[in-house]
Amino acid sequence: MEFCADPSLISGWRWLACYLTTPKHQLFYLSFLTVFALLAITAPVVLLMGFAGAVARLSSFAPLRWLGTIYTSMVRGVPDVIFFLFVPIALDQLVELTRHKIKCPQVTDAVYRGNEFIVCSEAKMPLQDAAAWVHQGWGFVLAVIAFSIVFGAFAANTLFGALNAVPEKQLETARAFGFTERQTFRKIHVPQMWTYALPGLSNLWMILIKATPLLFLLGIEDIVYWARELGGSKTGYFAYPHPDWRLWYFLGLLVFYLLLTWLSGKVFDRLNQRFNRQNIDQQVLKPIEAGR
Amino acid sequence: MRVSIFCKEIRLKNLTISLMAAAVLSAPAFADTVRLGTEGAYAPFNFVNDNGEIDGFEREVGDKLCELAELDCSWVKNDWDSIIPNLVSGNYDVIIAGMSITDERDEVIDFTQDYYPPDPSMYMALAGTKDDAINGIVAAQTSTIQAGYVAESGATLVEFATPDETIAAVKNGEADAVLADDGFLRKYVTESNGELVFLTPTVSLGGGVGLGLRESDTELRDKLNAAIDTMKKDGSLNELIAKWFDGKKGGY
Amino acid sequence: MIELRDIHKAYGHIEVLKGISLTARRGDVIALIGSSGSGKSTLLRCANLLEIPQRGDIVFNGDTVRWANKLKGRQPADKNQVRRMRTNLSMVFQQFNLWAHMTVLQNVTEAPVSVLKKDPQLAEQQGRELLEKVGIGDKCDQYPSQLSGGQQQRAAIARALAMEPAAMLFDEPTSALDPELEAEVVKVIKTLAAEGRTMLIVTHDMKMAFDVANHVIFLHDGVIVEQGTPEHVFQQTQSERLQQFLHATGTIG
Repeated sequence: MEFCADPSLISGWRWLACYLTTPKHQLFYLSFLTVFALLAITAPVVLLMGFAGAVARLSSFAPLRWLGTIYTSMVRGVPDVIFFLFVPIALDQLVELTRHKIKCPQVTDAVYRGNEFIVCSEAKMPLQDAAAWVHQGWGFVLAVIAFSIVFGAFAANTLFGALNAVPEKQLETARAFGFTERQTFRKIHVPQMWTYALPGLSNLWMILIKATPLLFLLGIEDIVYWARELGGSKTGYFAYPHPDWRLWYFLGLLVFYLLLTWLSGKVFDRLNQRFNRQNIDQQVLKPIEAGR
Repeated sequence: MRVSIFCKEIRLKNLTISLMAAAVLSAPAFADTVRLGTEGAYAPFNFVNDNGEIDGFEREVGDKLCELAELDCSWVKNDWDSIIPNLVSGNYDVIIAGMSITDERDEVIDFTQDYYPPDPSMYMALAGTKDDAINGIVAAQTSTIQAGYVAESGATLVEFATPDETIAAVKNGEADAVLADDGFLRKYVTESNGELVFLTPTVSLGGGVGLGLRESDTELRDKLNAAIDTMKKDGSLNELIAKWFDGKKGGY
Repeated sequence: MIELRDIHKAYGHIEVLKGISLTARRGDVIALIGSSGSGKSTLLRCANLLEIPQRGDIVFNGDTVRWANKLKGRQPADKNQVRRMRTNLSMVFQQFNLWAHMTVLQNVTEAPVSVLKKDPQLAEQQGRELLEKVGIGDKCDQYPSQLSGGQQQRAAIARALAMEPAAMLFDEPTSALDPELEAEVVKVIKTLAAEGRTMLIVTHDMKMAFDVANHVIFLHDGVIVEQGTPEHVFQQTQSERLQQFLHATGTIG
């Protein structure tokens, strides 16, 4: 602590070391965890939603098939950003409205009053007096849901295509051996589907990584927020004044994202190799590889 | 706020323990949580200091007002761009972000009386810039009164989401000048070693800085107005203005 | 044991099978021959209901397949009955159709474990023995794509045998193989015939049909033109069509 006691008296490397370890910078470093948390939570949810969507579209039950088709085509037809802005607000209001109806049935005043949206304080999500991190956490949950809906639809498309790409002969063979439809799906169709889905899913993962700065758009203090905030020029009101350093901060983010996507690419190459080793009619796979 | 209190009131009535209700409502320790929304990027009004906390003139004013009005307050950061919509949809209860009182905004939200006097808006430019630069390319923050003024002044307006970006635009030559509050710009000029200067023309805009509230929150507005009155009378508001704005006279 | 009665099958307006009946008793090896498009593969696929004939009956061990009329036409009424039949009639395909994501051994054990609910360890032990028997005991842990065509077809035969079926259906088992690989598969099929297994074999290979079958059926244009013992069919040919066919395939002449 002594080391950084008076920032105005130190300079050079010592100044930089102190500057880069201020509590504000620590918040910046922590915000990288937000990105990882988003990826770690969203990815499995996206896979699940995508799987559900793809299976729904393949279903022999017409309403379910329509639902799957509507879901995927709706998300595909609307710009992502619109969804990212719409979903959290709509969801937030829906939750508060529902809570309002349940918790304050005695309030008869309209919730939508002119341009205001007013629910009773018990219905607030989170509650007014909740800690700051709860508010941030709720915003994060809404963001995860928005990401999952949008990317779930993309994944549904990929998985739907992959399920269709599995050669019919492989499935027919299972039926010829007395497998039930369910067994055929679980033991043959799905395991073989991954090979065809992998290139598309790896692509989707890269897009997901690159979409994480949208968190900033949703009001979450992510790495972009902190880079911009820390990088902006600082006058004497701050302990560590400096000119406009946004370039360096954004350069840092650039390197971070490059590293992340490069590393992901490596992992997917490995997975691809593993799947290809145990693979299928090689001639069926070739066009997909070439198209990548 | 009105609704939240209303809500409790009715429930207590339903329980027919109005005596207790009276006791609770009149108890001096009674405090409901009020969320204060600020931008956190407009030094010295409000900014995030090196400890990662919200700091500045408005941090001190806001904390003091909450203390006087016996409110339990917490701080929320929000982008300037969406600061009014998010107040209206209930994400927080008060805007305290160097927001000038204008008729236009008053149609959407309510304001308390001003706690920072009307400040001339200044044009800041690189040293050596002629005064007619105010008719050239002028930077301003989006959705500010200055942006509105520049748009109508005949100059070419370039807008930025954050105050900091408007300064950067002048420094790198993207804009000939920036129009903003004197209180915000002054430090950039004094610390620039002559690189940045004020141009001669000034513009009077807005009716001082006030707290923004939802129009339905009249009770909270009254409480805060009373607290601002107290700070004006005891001189503590002038003191804070002098402290954060290099000895500027508040004149309250 | 298997009886097909008056089987009719059409795709749209194209009639592929125009009323075919055949009976296979225990230990019979029946070869179905005929030119491409004669309907022989379709007939075989009707036997285990991979194709649904529009008319005609299928009887397996006295159990007649029950039908139901559905929107898309006649369908088997009882899915369990269909599965029971299929587990008893193991199929070997022209293109082998080994499951690509499983090792050779897993290909052999999967159906016995999942469908017959056989103990996995027992299934594995028997699987290894069967692979040994067809001469690829050393390929257990390889994936199908790492095997030659002949090895894949032998694995497919082991997979069919693992079901301990009442009869085996071969759909052109050697057509996709180079001649030198064909021999190793024919050898396995001959061994199975010698063991007295019931088999229905659709084939282009007249030599194998002659060597292996005790009954040969010649199909042309969806009808049976000639049938009988191999000697009868190949050496005392009656119909002109069969003579032309045998001539064209180089079997005689």
